Amino acid sequence: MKNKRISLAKFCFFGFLMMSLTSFNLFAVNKAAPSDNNENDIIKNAEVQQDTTRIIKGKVTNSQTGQPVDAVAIIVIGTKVGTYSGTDGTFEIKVKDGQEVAASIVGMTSQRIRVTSSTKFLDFKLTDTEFKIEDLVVTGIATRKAESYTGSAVTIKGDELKRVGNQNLFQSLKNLDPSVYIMENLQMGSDPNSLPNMNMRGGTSFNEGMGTSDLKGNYENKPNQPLFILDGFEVTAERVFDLDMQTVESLTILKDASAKAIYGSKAANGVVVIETKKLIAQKPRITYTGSLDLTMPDLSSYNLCSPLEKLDVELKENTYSDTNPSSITNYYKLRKQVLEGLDTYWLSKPVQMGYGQKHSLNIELGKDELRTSANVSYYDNVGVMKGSDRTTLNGSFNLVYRLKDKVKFQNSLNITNNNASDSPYGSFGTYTLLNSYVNPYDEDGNLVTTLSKGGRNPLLDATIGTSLTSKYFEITNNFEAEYTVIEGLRLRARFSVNKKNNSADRYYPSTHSRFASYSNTIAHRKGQYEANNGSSDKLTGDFYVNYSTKIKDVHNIFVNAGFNLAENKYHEVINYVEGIPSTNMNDIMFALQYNADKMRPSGTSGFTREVGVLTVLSYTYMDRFLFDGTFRLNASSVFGSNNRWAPFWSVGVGWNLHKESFFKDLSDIKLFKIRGSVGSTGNQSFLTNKSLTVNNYYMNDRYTDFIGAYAANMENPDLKWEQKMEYDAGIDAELYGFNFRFDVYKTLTQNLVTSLSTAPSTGFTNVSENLGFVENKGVEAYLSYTLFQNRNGFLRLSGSYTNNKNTILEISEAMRTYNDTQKAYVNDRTDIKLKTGTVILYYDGLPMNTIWAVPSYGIDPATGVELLIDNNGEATYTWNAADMVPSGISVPKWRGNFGFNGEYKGIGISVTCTYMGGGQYYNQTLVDKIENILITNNFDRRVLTERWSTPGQEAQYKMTTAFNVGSQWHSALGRSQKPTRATQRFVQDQNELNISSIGVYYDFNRKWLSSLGLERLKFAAFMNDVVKFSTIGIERGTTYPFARTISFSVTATF
Amino acid sequence: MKAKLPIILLIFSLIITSSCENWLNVSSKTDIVSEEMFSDITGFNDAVVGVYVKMAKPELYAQEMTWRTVEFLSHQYAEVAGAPDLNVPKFLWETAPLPSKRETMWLGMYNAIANVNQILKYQEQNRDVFKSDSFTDSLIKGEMLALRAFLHFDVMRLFGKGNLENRPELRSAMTIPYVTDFTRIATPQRSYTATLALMKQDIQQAIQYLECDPCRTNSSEFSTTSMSSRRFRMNYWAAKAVYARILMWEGTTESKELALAQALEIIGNSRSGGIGTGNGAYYSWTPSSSVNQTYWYTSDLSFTQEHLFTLWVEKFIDIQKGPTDSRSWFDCASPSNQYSVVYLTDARRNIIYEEGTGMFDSDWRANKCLWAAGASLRNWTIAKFYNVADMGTNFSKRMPMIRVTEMYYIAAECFLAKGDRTSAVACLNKVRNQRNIPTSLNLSASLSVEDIRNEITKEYLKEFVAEGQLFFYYKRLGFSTILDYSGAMTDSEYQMPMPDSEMINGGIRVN
Repeated sequence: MKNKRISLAKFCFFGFLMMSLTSFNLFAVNKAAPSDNNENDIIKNAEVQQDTTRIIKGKVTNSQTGQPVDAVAIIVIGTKVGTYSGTDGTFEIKVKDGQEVAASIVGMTSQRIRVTSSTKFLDFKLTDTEFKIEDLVVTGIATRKAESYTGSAVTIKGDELKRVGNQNLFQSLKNLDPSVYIMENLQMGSDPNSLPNMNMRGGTSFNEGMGTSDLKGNYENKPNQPLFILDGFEVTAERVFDLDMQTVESLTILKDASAKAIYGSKAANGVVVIETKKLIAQKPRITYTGSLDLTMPDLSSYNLCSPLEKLDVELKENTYSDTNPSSITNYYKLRKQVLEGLDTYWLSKPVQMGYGQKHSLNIELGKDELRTSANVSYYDNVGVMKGSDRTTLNGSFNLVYRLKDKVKFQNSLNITNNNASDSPYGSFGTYTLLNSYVNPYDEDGNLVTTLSKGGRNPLLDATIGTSLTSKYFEITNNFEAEYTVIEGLRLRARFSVNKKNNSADRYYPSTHSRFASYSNTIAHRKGQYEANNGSSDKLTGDFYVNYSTKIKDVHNIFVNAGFNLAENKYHEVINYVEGIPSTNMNDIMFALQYNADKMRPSGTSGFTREVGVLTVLSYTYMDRFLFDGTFRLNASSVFGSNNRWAPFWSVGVGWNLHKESFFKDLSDIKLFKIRGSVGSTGNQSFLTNKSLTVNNYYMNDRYTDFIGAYAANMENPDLKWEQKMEYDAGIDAELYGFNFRFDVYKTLTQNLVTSLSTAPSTGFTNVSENLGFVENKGVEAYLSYTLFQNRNGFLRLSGSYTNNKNTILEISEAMRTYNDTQKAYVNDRTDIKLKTGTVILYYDGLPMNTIWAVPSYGIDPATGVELLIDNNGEATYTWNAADMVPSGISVPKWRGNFGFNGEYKGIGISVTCTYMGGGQYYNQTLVDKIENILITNNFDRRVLTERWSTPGQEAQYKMTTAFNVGSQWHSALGRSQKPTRATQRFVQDQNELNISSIGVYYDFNRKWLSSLGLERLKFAAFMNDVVKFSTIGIERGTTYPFARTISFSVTATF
Repeated sequence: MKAKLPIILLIFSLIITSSCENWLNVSSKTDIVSEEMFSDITGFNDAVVGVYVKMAKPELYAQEMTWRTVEFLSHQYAEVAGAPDLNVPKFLWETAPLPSKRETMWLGMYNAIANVNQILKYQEQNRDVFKSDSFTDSLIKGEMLALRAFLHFDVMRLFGKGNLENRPELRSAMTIPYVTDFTRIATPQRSYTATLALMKQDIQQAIQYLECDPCRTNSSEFSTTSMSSRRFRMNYWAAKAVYARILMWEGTTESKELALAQALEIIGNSRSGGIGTGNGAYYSWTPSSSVNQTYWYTSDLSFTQEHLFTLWVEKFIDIQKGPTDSRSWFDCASPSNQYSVVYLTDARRNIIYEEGTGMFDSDWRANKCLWAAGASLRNWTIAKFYNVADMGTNFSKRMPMIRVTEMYYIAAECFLAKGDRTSAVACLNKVRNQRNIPTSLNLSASLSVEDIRNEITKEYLKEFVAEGQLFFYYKRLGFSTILDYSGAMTDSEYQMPMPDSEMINGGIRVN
């Protein structure tokens, strides 16, 4: 212990010593030089003022659109004199004849004008460098010129993101770049509180079942999720989800090794770098954006029986006994009620028209050296399930201080407060099972407690005070100091502190339907409360040195080197209590006891530290031949002590063909770059401490008077980071109005951390080992064409395509055992109330997302029973897990999007379609709604029409079984017929075309606006998921309904 | 500036690499990693207790390794048709439930060993912890080494071969892996000689470390009831006894000589008028008053004062409950309704306690430790382990690992091997008298060697009901036939095969 502390102190001391030494040195140099300069300046200025100095006016306009350009830096070359253009593009500056004035701004060409005695007005006409920010690649560690960059990266501007949607970044990203695959959550539908699942260029991590689902803090990352970098620091997906899109300047997706290797051990799943807006304005400026969303539940995919149809089925299935008068009377009674008009549309009961309101206010202040901006945003998203809601309040304050272009300090403080609540109505699925001839209300219009068919009225749950809320409060402060020592040499230090507190409260009052089955003996346990409490602390810092130089005008060298440190602590605990007798007692304190089933509090916690050293070397020869080399060393507390330091590297090369003489003359070829890269990155998002032995206490056992501890797992000090070798080749081109990007890639993930069976004589049956190989390969292409572009507007078409093939090359022995247990598990599922669907199995040579199902001949016309094909190719009626064969892949093989966007005189329109195909889908909802049904529930209409009923009939669905119990005696077979389990009959090809976003906007004429004192006014409207054409019909949103959103927004700048 | 840059970076990297190792050694509060666990004495003590908790689990000595699987193998219990363990006494190693039992017992034993090894590893590594407490240091080391020998010895007694005495060719054969490291890498198998040597080395060292054991001199430290009693730990006397057991298994003349020395030291060596007439220095014989309490369940029927090492089984009542109903395995009132039951048949009791002799009526083990239940009262309940709720904790919740009487039997066997029939008989008579068999029925020193050997076997049958020792006794001496089993006893009956997972994952393994 003592030793540890000493060396930590030593480390800190040395660190600070070095820092102060370096800075002292640098400042010393600095001090000497500028002081001379200052004196000279004063003398010079004095001369100037005496002489021919005069004030000259000017204006900056966009050469293409003619619009004024504001915030352009206007500098008199060789002096400290400078200003910025105003919103109308005009400026005034003091100059002397013979001096040169330059106007420059990021994203446009810069221009210089020499002032002569005849100069009266400085008319700067700047041209958009066609893809403004795309010309720069923001990697989060350094900003690189795209032209000399060998990595594969895609930059999306904030405006572009906003053009395809305004809900959240993921929603927009889905429509813009298909390489980030954001999976549609078929279960959670449009739940405002569920974070999307995503991966880039295919998944690599095996899912062996992780974590408790009761956790709310999102502290543990999902294994296939990309790394998110917000303004240089790692953030959670949740933070990105709740980010105010108005503040986003750009989003960059780093795809290949050459681009990602700077993030070393965390980059394997891809990196998404988000930069928020940097301060531009020189004068106070206020921007307001407000939007209103309307969210409409889409229940059209449900095709349920009408009350009469349902009664027909019940009668046919002998639910009503002819010999029992009360039973058959009941049928006629129901029928009468239905004919009189009883038809409860249960699906509509828990849903509503959702709405969202968003307000974002941005205030920019300050001038010259000191500039500030403050942003406040509020987003309230009321979901389509009644009572589900997510409210985010976000405030941020940025401050930039520049001193003589040498020193820059920047600080940004961000505070987010989020409140979320889930619908007290429970799962939407419950309502799809209720019969429409059951009335939830009595004659007086009050909710009944018990439904006429038995069971508690689920609508009641919402009225008794059920409360399912969660919230978090997060505060982040990023500080950055930058010092330009000499031209080309820059030092930068950044430091980030992040603290987050989260809590969740789930209160189920004693009368909640989940306690309906509690017998009298455990009635005192009714009323449950779950309370989550979590917090996390992150400290991150880095220090980088940038050096760039040009030798003999042909060799460009750029070096970036430095290190980073990070510490991350999180802790979340859940307490389960029960026995809250009264529904008024909505607090954990009223509970009688801890939950008898859960007993002890549970939770998660983690404490990790990491260190990294990074060197990037970039070299270009005459801007034609490009070379990038990255070397990163990472160390993390998560890894085995024998393999603490993990090296990652990448080498990228590129060739700017458009700079070659044979292309140079063709002015229509603006860019033609061929690039290739190879390198390795890692993945460390797995449960911490797999390399070390963790000791647990025997909580329920004592030995005499003592308590004992034991080793819970075997250590593996040789455990390594998961490594991904990546190969990528690509072309970036802009020619003849086309913008083209093409990538071929292959990645090999090795050292996957999985459990390996060990000899039990080690004391343990398995240990974490680096095992398994997964390969992903594919192609990504992007093409856009600008039909026209002039000062009135533009029209651009774009499309993209990506495919990915995933193959497991090697799996561990433990994985085989996992497969066997999975198979045994499904083999035992013979009751339809249990999960009878597909399971995930991992085998060499197959994709990770293989669907396993038993081949089927279809429904036997003679018996109405499914005829399956067993391992020997013979027909059988018996379902056996061992007969399952790979029957499809549950992810699309190819995906992409296409669309157009254009603007004419301020009116803009943007349409995006996404498409995907080549994959399969196991239509479990169809199984559950047509074949594995209970007569007591409502089901799909096709039960009446399309299932087998008479011998000889060729039906698509088997004779429905399992009506009252899990299985039903089948007289033709002389045995019970089992529920439908994984069969190829329900494996369907999934090809989809989705008009995923339509957006229109109107940007008011600025000249007209300025007369109103406004700088900018823009109205926009969006609609997402407009129409979907699919080869299969799925009920999207089984737990939470699927919804469509229409959104209207207004942006005004003062 | 340009020249300085690489130097600065180099220095930075040097600082980082040299100081990071410690800075990076962190883990979450709820994951107590070993380095942290073993950073103070409390952590060591908790881990030591953890080993005993593990040993007192049902897959080990609270059930399988004692009164259930191992005892079923000795054919001590009645056969109940439809019983879950019916295949066990048939030695059908590949038929349920044995394959899974072999796995769990093997894994459980080695898991306990792994925990022992982890403690020993960190004790070696974190010497600072014990700087000011050499007593605890020595005690933990002694206990752990002795337990490592003890646990391996039981794995070998079950999964290895017996009768080494008469089969010297076996000594170079491979036996179970003797694991001395806490590592994920499987330990290779060694020969019986090499394995026994490691075992002896561990136990000899353990005995040396345990010389500081307070129970050697202070009988209050060997209390039967005090929760901190050394009797519930692997103590000095127990280590000695383990040594004797190992030596007997080895079976050479020299080892028997050594075994005798150990046994005699444990017995107390007060040989006036025969073997140990009085109480030992630290243990005492069970008095008649303890046995003859008002109720059977308040009486000391497992003779707790004579346990050299006994495991505290906190949940013994729960462990004794059958899988299907809540009745105890020891409740044999109506066995036809309950297949999960162990008891002695009337016939078995008559044979082992020698019906028709005076012993049958006087021996507490026949009359007090067993009581009749069931139809016509012909099922004999093993009262010494039958834990019921009404019981106090003075005599219940215990599973004896080693009894002092075993040392008398070992001594008798060794004396006999040397031809000292008088001493051998004296050893046996001492135990018999303590079990209420009158001195008038004492064995005569004029009995033949063969007869005395038979008497020793009879004692094993009588003394260790439901403790598992009988099977190991049969196996050690290579009995070709055993009581109540018609088949021949060979290695294939005696030797429980290693579990499949060990054969698959352990590298090269021979059974």
